[in-house]
Amino acid sequence: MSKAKIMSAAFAAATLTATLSVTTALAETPSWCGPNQASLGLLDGFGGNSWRLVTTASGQEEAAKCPSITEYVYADGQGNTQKAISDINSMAARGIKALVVFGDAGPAVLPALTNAHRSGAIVVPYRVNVGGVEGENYAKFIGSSFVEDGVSWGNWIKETLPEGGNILFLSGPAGNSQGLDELAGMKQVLDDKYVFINPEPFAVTNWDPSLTQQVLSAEIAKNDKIDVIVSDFGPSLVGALPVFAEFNRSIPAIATSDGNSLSCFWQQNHEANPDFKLFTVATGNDNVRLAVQWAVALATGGTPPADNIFKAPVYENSVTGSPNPVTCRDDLPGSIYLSAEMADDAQAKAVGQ
Amino acid sequence: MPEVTPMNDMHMQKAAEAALVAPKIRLSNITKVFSGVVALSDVSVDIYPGEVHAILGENGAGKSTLMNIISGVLTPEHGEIAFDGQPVTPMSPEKAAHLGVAISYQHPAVLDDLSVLENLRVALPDHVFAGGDPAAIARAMLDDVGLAIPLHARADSLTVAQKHLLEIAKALATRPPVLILDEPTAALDQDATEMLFSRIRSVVAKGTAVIYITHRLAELRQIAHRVTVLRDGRVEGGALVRDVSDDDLLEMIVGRSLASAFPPKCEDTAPQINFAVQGLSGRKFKGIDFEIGRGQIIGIAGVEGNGQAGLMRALAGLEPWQGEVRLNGVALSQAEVKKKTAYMPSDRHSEGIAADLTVRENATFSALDQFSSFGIVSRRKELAEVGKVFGSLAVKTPGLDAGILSLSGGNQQKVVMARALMSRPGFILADEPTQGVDVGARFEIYRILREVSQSGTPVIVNSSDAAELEGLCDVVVVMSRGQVAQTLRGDDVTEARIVAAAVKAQSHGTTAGDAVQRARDKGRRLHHYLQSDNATVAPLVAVVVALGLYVFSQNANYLSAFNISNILLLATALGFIAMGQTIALLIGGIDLSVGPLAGFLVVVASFFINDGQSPQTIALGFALMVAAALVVGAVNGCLIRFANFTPIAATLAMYIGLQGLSFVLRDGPGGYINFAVMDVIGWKLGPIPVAFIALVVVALIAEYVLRHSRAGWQLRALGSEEGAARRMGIRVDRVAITGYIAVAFFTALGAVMLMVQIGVGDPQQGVNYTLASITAVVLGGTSLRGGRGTFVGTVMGAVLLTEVLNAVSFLGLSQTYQYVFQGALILSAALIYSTARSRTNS
Repeated sequence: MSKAKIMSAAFAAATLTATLSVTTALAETPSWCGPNQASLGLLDGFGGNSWRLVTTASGQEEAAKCPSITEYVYADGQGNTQKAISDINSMAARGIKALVVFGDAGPAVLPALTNAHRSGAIVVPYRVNVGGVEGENYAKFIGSSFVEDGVSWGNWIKETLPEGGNILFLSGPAGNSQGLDELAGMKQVLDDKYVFINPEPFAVTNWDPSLTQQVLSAEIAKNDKIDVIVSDFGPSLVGALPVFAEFNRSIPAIATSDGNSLSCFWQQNHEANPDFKLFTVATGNDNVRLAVQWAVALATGGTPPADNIFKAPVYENSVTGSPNPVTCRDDLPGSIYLSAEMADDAQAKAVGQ
Repeated sequence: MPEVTPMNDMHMQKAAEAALVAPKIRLSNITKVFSGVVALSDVSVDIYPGEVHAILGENGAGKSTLMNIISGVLTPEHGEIAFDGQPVTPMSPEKAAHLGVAISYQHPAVLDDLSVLENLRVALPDHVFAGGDPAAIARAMLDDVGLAIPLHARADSLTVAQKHLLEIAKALATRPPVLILDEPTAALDQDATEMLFSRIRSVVAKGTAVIYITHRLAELRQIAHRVTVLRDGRVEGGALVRDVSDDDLLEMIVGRSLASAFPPKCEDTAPQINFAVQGLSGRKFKGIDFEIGRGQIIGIAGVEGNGQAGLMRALAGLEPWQGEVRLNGVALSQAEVKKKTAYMPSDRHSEGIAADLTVRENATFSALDQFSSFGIVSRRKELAEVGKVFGSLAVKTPGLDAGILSLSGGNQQKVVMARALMSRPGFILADEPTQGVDVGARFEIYRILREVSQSGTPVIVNSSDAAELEGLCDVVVVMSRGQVAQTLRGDDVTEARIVAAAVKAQSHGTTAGDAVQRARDKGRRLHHYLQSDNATVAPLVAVVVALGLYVFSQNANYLSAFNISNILLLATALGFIAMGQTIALLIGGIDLSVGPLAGFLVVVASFFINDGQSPQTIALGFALMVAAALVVGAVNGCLIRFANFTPIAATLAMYIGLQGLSFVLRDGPGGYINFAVMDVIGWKLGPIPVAFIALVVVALIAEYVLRHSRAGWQLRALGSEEGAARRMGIRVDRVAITGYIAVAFFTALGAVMLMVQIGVGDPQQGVNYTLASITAVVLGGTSLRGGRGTFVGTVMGAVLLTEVLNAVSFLGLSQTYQYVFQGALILSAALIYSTARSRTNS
């Protein structure tokens, strides 16, 4: 039990004269949850993979911590920008007070966000850069420290391959800001001993596991020497990694984000593949929690959190075992993320397994 | 006989006439060759004003070719055409129209998707309708031919006879100095024929030169003054009708003496009957009776299109029939007929052979069962049988595994026969067995058919060559209008008798009889509204309003100004792009590139229409958007019309190309659009965006143009039936390319709205509009088959789609409902529209 919780429990005990409900509220309510009632909408640009399912469930779980939130709604843009724009419009029109938006389409949803902002909704886009200015186009943007992820990967690559080597970097859709930031972070720490063998700036996978498999298989066949693979969606690599065995090559070192299936794959294969070292950063499902906290604080009159940016911690390191060794839970679905705050079995339920 | 003028004397006779009146048209020494086959050879004919000049001849004699040369559709290799003494070279359809040549085609150039009035207006020059109410003028034209049909009825509700009358009305309407009528009475009943003749007499009295193409001698006597007989592309003779007897004409039509190389006929005069047909009726024939004895070959004769093809296809089991078919005394069911028959189709290339297979495969694919045990073919058995049959048929082939197309026409036909024989059929149907077959092979085919018949397998031959029937058959059934006109046996089986029976047949069938007086005006207005292309608008409005009210009842904010303006603004982008797509579907095509084009245009705009740019640069940005769109539309149109791409292939290539180009210009989102520009375009009057009002106005104008202007009729004519549109003199390539350019132009308007919506140049945006636009168009009621559509319906479809997106998230329904909702809407729209259409057709 955390120190804060012990203290609040003690505080609650000291004010037993208050009504029970107030007591509970005081005991459970986080500081970002203010007294004013509000409704909250979570909007996804594309909600169709396990990461999104866990993230959405995390957002809902976070919102549920605040009793002032009277209504919680969710909409999935289904990868269709016009649907995403329509969702933002209609939520604002319905009078939903706080909108937490994963703006997959990037700046293309900015006019809709601005429109909603002007109509009086608290608009909090997160994770994907949508352009615009805080206070003018939306209330608050909660970014993620993708540059920092890149730096963490870069540092680990330097430790693992001090002599330099060939790096294959895969990210999502062409031109996505996350991949560009990560690349910038890596370039901060890696000098030109390290050669990126992917097409500039990264190999495009759309974060789609089947496309990733095609792209990665092609790159493996094309390049005789791949010393490290970097990807910002680790579990999507699992499908193509066995291709190395067909070429009688060891799976190389991998710097990526975590996922149960990837960890379990490592556990089963690292002995047969001497070069297979694994380093992960937390995949960032909890980014949504920070965004929800901000949105709820602004909508209910609570105290906003201190952080503006979600920093994904380093999660696994197969070389040093610090902060965690590679952790596989083969009793749980492969498509969950052990780095996420949400309980493992709740995640399993969210991904429908 | 002085009445019949052999060719050499013709000029003498003409000279005599010319002294009185100069010919309107003089054709001199016309020769026309189609890929080596001479269709017309040295034909000279004079056509005089104030006369009906009949052109008589068998199928393939060159009548239609001659007519097409006069109308400028075909250009002769040699010879000269002169109008009023002035040579016209080269002749073109435009020149012919200008000189006043009007044609009523054998297959009416009537567009099913257009109304009667629109059919008249798109086919006739504007001056015909000038100086009066077009409807009244059109009414008078129809009255002129006794056609009592509503002007706003869609042409697909007309009977065949009514269409012929409409075709004739069109030809008469311009009061042409030259009128060509190609088999005009083929579908008409007695009354309508009489009426037509009286019309012809009255235009002739006013000095029109009428060219009347027919194969009916009886009609010739009633209407024509002069006759020219064509045979095998040559003028066989010409005369004044009153000077010539039927027998003389028949001799001229038939002409040649019979070849003597036919195998001997069946000697038995009363053989045992092994195949009999009684009271056989089908789609295009009825009450057919005939029987065949062992060793006999029966021939089916008649002028093309009198039910012979239907009879053959029915006996081949390819079309349903009623009646009785007996083989060796046993009645067969339809399924048994199909099993017992061996059909040698007349259209060898499309039905008779599989062009990609080898000679051996073509010979055996219907008989493989006989060479196989447990489904596995024994190659040895197959080869042995093929070798045996090919030997007996004398098939000349470079090898059994050569491609079938490497064989000559005659040998291909023998392979088809080999297949027929190898499948051990109950009876053999040979449809035009010697068409396109050289003389040598021809007589081998006769010999084989005779042998097959002698061996006890009944043989039925359909042929348009009367000489062939005379030489080959023991019994000939002559058909006219789907019935047996005469059955000839023994010595009566002569070419002259066959032709005479076919052309003298007068039995006017009853099928087209009741045609003229049908469309009554009971509940006419409602009926016509339901039939019209805009019938979908009212139900769509009802659905839009009902859905709106339902969501409003759940959440009062639904009808807030904020929400309404958001829905309409989104619908405006989709609406413009879908209007473009409507044009593509109207002309019978599709444009898949609209989505990426819209995205690409926004990317282009994002380099010019930014904050801080000068008004000139911003104006340049808009100009470039439109210019780029027009280029894309022109490229789409040219790929489809001139490079033989299908619309799907051409616009899919463009889809991919434009996507790539967008990524070349920008690899990620960038280039924010000028806020002032966005505010102006997104400006609202109360809850209604001005842009949406513009969309509605543009849709109404486009709708008006579609219904009431030549451009609109031409678009729909092209989508309705390209061949007919071409014959009407519509320049189909130009119309189609203009159409695709218009698609791109509307897409550019939609792109302006998309630009306001997303406010940034992003190469990934826009692609969704391809599918969404097609969905909106289909919801709006435009037919995917072309020819019918509505811009107003399309706009309503776009509004409804956008409303559904909004309502699903307003109601907080799960995402599954969105798909269910949209799917159900489209499914029900498609079902309702297609049943409504099939009702109005019936």
